[in-house]
Amino acid sequence: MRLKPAPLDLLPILIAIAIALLPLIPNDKHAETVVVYRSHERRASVPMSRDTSFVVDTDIGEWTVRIESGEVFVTEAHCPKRICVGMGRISRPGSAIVCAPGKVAVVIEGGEELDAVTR
Amino acid sequence: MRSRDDNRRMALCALLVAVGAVLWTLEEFIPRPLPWLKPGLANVATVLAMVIVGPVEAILVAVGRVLLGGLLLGRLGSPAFIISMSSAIVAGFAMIIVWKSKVPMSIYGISITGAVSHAVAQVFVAGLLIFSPSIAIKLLPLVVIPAIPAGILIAFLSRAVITRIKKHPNKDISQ
Repeated sequence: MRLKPAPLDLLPILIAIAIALLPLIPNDKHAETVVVYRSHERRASVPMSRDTSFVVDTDIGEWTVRIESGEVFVTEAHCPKRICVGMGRISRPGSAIVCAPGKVAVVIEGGEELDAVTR
Repeated sequence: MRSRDDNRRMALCALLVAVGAVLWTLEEFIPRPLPWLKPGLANVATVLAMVIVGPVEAILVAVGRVLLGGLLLGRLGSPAFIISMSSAIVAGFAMIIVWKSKVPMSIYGISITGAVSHAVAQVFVAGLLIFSPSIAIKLLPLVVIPAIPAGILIAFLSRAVITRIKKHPNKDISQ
């Protein structure tokens, strides 16, 4: 056993730094997407990472859905109560904005979904 | 019949298990900001067992000290104990593999290998037992980076012990 530091001692340090950098690798598999459902049918999915807004056709008029800095919300709805607009912004996987009379829902899917207990 | 050499090795192992268990237990009482941020001084016992006695004994010392430490703190069988045990064994094997592979690495490199593999094993076993493996990956930098200075510290301490043993008039225990 050598007792004085050797140049190859840097090898485990470099490997350790490489291991520490592992989480920085972007993982698209876990990327969150906004999925639009219409009458229980999956109609469209939009990545969460990009800021956009799009129009969704519902049974009671059109919805304008906006994705902005990791948050999803309905900006416009053509109905008297506008419950969907009032539902505010959602950002976590598993949360949804639903319009029952319009039979549509936008759901955030993918990402790190929590288990049934914590959700 | 056991030879004198066997008895001496056994006594050395017992001594190292005791030292490791005491270090492991005392370390629990040092305040630290995050539960895994401890230097892992008990690994000194594994390193010394590997150098002074042998690789098989090193694993036995690693297992023995965690077992004894778990007994002292009343943690036998708890998740924390399983994490400690598995990572101590992984670290022991990692150090033995690096040492036996004859890579021209000093005690520092071997000790850092042990500390880093201990940290990685710890976070992954914790990921399997307590939280999800995907969170374990995110915790890697927080666990692995502090392991580097910890490994250097353990190497420094082990080296201090080994040099003193070599100077001792009864130095037949070291190779």
